[in-house]
Amino acid sequence: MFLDSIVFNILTILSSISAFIVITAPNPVYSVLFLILVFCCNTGILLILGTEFLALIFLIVYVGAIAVLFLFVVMMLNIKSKKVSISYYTEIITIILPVIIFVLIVLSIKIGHIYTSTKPSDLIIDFNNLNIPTMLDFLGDIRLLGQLIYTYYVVYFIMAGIILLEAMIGAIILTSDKHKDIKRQHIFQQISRDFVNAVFLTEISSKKQ
Amino acid sequence: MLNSIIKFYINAMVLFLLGMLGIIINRQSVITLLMSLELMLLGINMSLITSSIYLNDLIGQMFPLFILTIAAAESAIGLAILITFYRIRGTISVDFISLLKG
Repeated sequence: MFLDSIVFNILTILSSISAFIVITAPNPVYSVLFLILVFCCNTGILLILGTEFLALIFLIVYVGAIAVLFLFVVMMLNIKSKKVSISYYTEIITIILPVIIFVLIVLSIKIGHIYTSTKPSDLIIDFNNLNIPTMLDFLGDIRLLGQLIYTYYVVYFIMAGIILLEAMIGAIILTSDKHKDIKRQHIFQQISRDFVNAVFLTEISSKKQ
Repeated sequence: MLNSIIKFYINAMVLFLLGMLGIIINRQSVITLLMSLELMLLGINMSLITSSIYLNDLIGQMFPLFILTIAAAESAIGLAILITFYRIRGTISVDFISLLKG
């Protein structure tokens, strides 16, 4: 028996069932926990494929950052359990038809290229005498990726860092309201005072308490 | 060992389609919407990594790395917006989300 095949089948079936539970669970906490299970199953599938660095990066970033973020938000907000109602969708054909078309497109591309083999290292079609499993074993996954990222695609790497910085700044500004009641100087407004608009008339509405 | 590569693609496709279905079904709850979005991105990542192993091209492993980065940033911003919305409204029902304008 091929252990990889058994483990792979278990992982894919578990991941599909967990993904289904994510979208149909009534309680959002259940959804987040099964989302974590989906991420872990896909990490296992990536380990089977031989990309260990990417598998562990998935674990660290997806489970350790994104799913934990979801868990924090779900625990912090007072969310009532939702009811799944499909009665809103009278035009169910608008859902089914794109799904069928998508499935047909993907299968028509992939079925033409099924590569069946019984040798363990024959998963790769050898185009230009390259062999990624051998390269992965020899150079290591991380070094291989580094030889691409830091040389040819360095601009994308730097841009990814800038995008993360902006996301951090945006999230902090959106959720912090500690400084709204503090009186402080607005230096630009003070310096850019003009004699034309230095004195103006305002309306003060009386607030009823 | 594995018989064919198509099982990997079927797994990736099922994840992507379940994510799409989740977005369609869960219009009412924003958190499940964001989780379905993460499912879609995960499906695309798996498909790209499988293609990388299948076609001997390392760009298929580099691109999911960047997609992962962008997905994390977008989750952070989306959840921050959700929290702000909840603070203002007191509930995260999307029926009144059009009141955010103005």
